[in-house]
Amino acid sequence: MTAGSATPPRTLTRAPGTGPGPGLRRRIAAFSPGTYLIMGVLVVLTIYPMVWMLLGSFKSLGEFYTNIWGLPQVWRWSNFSLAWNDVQLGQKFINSIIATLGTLILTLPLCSMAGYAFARVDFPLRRYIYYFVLAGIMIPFGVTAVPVLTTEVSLGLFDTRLGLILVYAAQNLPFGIFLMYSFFQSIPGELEEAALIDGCNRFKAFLRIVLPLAKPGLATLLIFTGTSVWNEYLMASVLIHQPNLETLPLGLVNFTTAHSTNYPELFAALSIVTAPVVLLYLVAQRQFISGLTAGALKG
Amino acid sequence: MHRVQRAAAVVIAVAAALVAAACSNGTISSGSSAPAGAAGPGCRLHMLGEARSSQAEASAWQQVFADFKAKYHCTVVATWQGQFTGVPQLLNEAHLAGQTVDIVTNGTEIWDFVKSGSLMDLTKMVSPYLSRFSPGTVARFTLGGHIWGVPLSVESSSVFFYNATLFHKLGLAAPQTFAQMVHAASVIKAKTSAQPVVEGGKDTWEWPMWYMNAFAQTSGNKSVSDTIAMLDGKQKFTSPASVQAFQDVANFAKDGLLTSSSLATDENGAIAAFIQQKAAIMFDGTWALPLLRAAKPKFQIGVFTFPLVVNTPGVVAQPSGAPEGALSIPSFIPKADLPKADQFIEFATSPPEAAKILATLDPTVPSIAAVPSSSDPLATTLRQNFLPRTIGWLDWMWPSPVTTSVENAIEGVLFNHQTAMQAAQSVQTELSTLRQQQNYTYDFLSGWPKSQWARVEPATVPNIQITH
Amino acid sequence: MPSAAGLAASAVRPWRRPSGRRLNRKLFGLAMVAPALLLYVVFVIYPLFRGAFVSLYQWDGLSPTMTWFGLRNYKYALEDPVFLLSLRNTFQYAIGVTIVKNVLGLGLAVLLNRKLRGRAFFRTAGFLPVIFSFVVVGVLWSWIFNPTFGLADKLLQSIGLGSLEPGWLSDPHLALWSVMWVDVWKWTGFHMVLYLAALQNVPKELYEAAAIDGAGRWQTFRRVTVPSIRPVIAFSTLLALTGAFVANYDVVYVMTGGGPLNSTQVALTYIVSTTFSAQEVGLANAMSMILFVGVAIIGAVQLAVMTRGREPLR
Repeated sequence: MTAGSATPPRTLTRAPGTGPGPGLRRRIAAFSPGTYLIMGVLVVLTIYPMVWMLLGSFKSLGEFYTNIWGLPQVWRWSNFSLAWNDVQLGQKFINSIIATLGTLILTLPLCSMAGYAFARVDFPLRRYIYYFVLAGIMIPFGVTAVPVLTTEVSLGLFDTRLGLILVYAAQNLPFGIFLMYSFFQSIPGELEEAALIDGCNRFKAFLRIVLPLAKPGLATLLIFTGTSVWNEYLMASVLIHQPNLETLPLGLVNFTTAHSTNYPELFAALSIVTAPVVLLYLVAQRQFISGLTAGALKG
Repeated sequence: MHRVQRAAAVVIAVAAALVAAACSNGTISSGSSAPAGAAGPGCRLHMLGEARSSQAEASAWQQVFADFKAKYHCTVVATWQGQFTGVPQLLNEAHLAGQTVDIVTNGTEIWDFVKSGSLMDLTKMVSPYLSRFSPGTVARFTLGGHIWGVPLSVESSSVFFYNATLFHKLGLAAPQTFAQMVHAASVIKAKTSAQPVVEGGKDTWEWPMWYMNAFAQTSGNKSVSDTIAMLDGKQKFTSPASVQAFQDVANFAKDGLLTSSSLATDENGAIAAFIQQKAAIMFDGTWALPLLRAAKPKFQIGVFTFPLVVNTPGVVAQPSGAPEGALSIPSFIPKADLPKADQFIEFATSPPEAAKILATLDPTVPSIAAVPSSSDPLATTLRQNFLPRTIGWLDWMWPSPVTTSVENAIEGVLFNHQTAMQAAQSVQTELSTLRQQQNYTYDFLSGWPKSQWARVEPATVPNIQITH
Repeated sequence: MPSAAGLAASAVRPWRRPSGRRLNRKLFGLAMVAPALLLYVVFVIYPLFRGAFVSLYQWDGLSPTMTWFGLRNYKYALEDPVFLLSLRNTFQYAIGVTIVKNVLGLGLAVLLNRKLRGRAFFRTAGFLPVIFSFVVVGVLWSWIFNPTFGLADKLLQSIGLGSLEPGWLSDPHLALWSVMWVDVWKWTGFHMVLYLAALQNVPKELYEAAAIDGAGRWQTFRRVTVPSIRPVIAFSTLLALTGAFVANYDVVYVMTGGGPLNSTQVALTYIVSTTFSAQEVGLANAMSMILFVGVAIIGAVQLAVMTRGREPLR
């Protein structure tokens, strides 16, 4: 299946992905309790931190200083409403959702289109343009912060939702195109070819035939871009000054004053903020996993 | 199926957010936007600053804005965003974007602000009511004889907090000399499992305070003028007094008072350690007192100043300190707004109005003399014993790279086997590099051309009323 | 029904219509790429060039005027021992983290590839840290590593190694490794999922052939598994590598701020502090340019090496 493998491929009698045959299955059925132990450690290592943060959300600041790891003695549900109100989390929630959705609405189509073109269509300078875009993965974005600001000001986009969305979309394009390009390479071309012979134009073939097959790749891109925009701080702090346009990360920073951090309220806010991301992941994960597979297999 | 699930999750999240947004009403980081069509004659001032320290403080500012509007018919709209370190950047971004900013808060960044020509010279505008400020507080915001900000905050200084209950139990008194402190530490280590001294060293900006305290003594109480000389190139960081100061700091580790665990402990961690009695003494600033009280320690808190590390008669311990916040006027303020902005600054710093804001900060020493100070039992001690001897923060005067190299030098000399001379040399090298590569000068004001001054001086000094 | 050969062939070269409507195809290709390219150039490339432009000046980010410096900022950057140290730290960080994430990820994936009860649960749990923001992760691990209260020290005590008391974040020789560990903790789940998916797509015929040839488990792994998933390894490595160079600001900043003694100072944290604290924007931009060029070279080399023998763009 791969050009670089040392063993010549045998004829397929079963579609790939259905797992090892009966002989191998018997061999590996006797897994060790050691495996479970390792997995158990893995789960504790990953779940406990969330639990800690959640428990911390219920403590008072004084209690946080005296009882860092244990269960809260008094369950202060008020931390959540305090966190919500003190920094207007509700408004910031909405702003983050708008920013994220807006970025996704731009990024998903643009990356699919460009990724498809790079993978399938021979046009002039294709190779060079691809590398040009790929180089964007390597740019440390801090260096572009102030120039982006002046660009947005001259375009009249400073301190606007649209301005932020455009910048986020642009910054997520290189990785997104790379992902979709890799993904499209693994889809066989027969189907489009058949559609074109039947008289479909190229774009319709892309839209109707290929894109539906690309859902796992899109799901992957959605999760990556979504989480990166949801948690992004630097560009938002530079480009957004109006308080009612601020996104969640900007609000979270306000729990840290010059000399101390109000951890319980910060954790309450973080719990509120992280929940939708976890939810989204749990819902989209199956698509996401198969997206990662197919996209990565063909490099 | 998955698409439906995903869509449902998004819808639920959005709906929840909308409902909650409708119920929220907080203001720490929001602007106090006036409802549309409010100010009659259309007078509007824009204020920019970092996020307020508490809901209570934000409300107090709202109150002051309302009082100002009632008296002067001018609406003040405030943008509170981010941390105090980000305010110069915020101001610059606002300027680049053509936004109006009439009043800006500042604190430790005052030098950066002034050097870039971002602030107006307030000297003539403030002189009518200068006497209302606590002694020494305006001096912190005075550069080259010109006043660039008026302090509206709590005067602070560096201090050692100690577990008075434990000390009493061990028969120890608050140490006044270094030798006494070493003795106290050895008793603490012998009789308890607590560490003697903890410092939030992960917040590296705290380390220079140690040097400042030591240097204040080793320089014969002339550390401020010596620092000016160093930055002017007339003296060096490797002078005997300065090297001795590094050595005196090093002795805290050498003689067993500080351990390297302080390098990984931030201010919060130090407070936690002190509260849980895992450390008997904590080095911090007076700003930490409200935090300590909030944690409800099960022991009496005491304070003492940096111990004497020299024997020279007449030399006293001098903590460094300053009010943490001030109000300034940006140099790009629209000319028409200047009179009202000037009035607002006077209004906000008048005792009745300032009291509203400062009350939310539990001020040990308010920067406006007539404002009542905190009723905390330690406030009196601090006010009477510490504040009269407090000098300015040296790291307000140092350029940032020098401050960073002092931080590293202190860490090195405490925990990394650097000698005091090596530490001092590393700072001096940084200063020399700065001078050579970036053309750094301390006294940049005297090099300002007339055109630069014209940008920061008011064309005419507005007539303002003095609020009593 | 597409044949295996046809499948292989079409995955190897870009699809071309035999009828030769070249212009139509070229326009289509360019049109598909144009919107993305426009956005990219306006909001990424143009600011990058402006940033590079500023790197030739001295500017504090606040004043209206800049001073011409030519290439002096580059000279100063390359002479600055702290910048060079930060590059070295970044390099150590990137190489170390990339190797561990991929090795651990692959190892865990191999373990999970067997018929385990609750595999989906483990897979989900392993992936969760990936979606947390670094604020949560950094704060949490800072407290775990706290010398007075930290769970890490408590754990050591419980297994009798309490006297070690390593300065997780205070020992200049250890701090960077602690921060690297947190990065690994956050991202290994991602690589695990990636490799797991790849492993599940290795055709069982290859395993059967190896079993018939009498290969042991390790040999099977080396000769069958690894070559089959080579593209995934390359992909996963590139992601880890570039991320560790240009996206590690948050974790370092939250956990150590670059200390103690610059032992955890990475290029990004130093650049940011040069911009906002030392207020030397020109110098910081010069450092960013140097970093960008360095990462681009490393990325290109890595990609070329790991995909040798196959066209990178097909």
